[in-house]
Amino acid sequence: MNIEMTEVERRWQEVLRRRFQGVIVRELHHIPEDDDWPFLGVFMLPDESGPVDFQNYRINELWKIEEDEKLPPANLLRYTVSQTKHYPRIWQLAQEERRAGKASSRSVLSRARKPLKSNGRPKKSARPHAVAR
Amino acid sequence: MSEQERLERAFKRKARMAYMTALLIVKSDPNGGANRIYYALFLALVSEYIRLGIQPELIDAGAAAAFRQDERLKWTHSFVKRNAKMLRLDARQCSWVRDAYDYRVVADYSDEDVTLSVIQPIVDAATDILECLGVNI
Repeated sequence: MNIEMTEVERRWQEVLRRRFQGVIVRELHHIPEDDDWPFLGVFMLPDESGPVDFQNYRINELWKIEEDEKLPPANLLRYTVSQTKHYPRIWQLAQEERRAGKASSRSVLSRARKPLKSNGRPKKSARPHAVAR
Repeated sequence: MSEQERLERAFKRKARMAYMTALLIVKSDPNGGANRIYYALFLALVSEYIRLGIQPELIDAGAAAAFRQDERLKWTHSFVKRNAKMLRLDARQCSWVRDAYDYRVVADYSDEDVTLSVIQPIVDAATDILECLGVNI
């Protein structure tokens, strides 16, 4: 089975985000180890949870998910948020995702916070997907 | 003693020594401990594959490619850690082996340090795994 690396990254990222929101999975190219399995960096793990949290997750839960969902084999190396700062390309990607996430949640929140009209209906601008005619 | 037995014993002896070294140094040098504990597991796994007459070059494409270069290279990390199930290690034990490998890579190649808090549980788990693999510890 020959899967494109972007697909390998996508599948692992999708699985890992169920437990660690916002992590980014990308192949690492700087490890001079002869191995058939790719080295994947799991970036943006929360600083406060630490590597032990990830390790426990891997030993107790992830192996089962790996088997059940037939994830492509890979070596996983973990990087906390602080460590991710040393990888500018990944860090930039994380910031872009964060900004995009904030922007969408802000627009939803601001609509929700608009006061209601006196008749109890939301103001026109507060209606979701309001289109000017 | 057959060549197979000689190799099996040699790798088990080396696995035991790597394990003892890991125990000695892990608190003062967790990176070194990570390296030694992975190799203790690696050598113990190889010794069991040899005992069972498993030939990686006949099973695994990567091992076969390595074998063509040099017979001694057939025990690739990928093969050894991927097939630990053949040796009746359970899924969690296999997961510890893969984890030990990943921390060894961090210890050897990364600018990050392996900490005692992450490597100590692997050393603890390795004790049990090595016993399952017939290493006298």
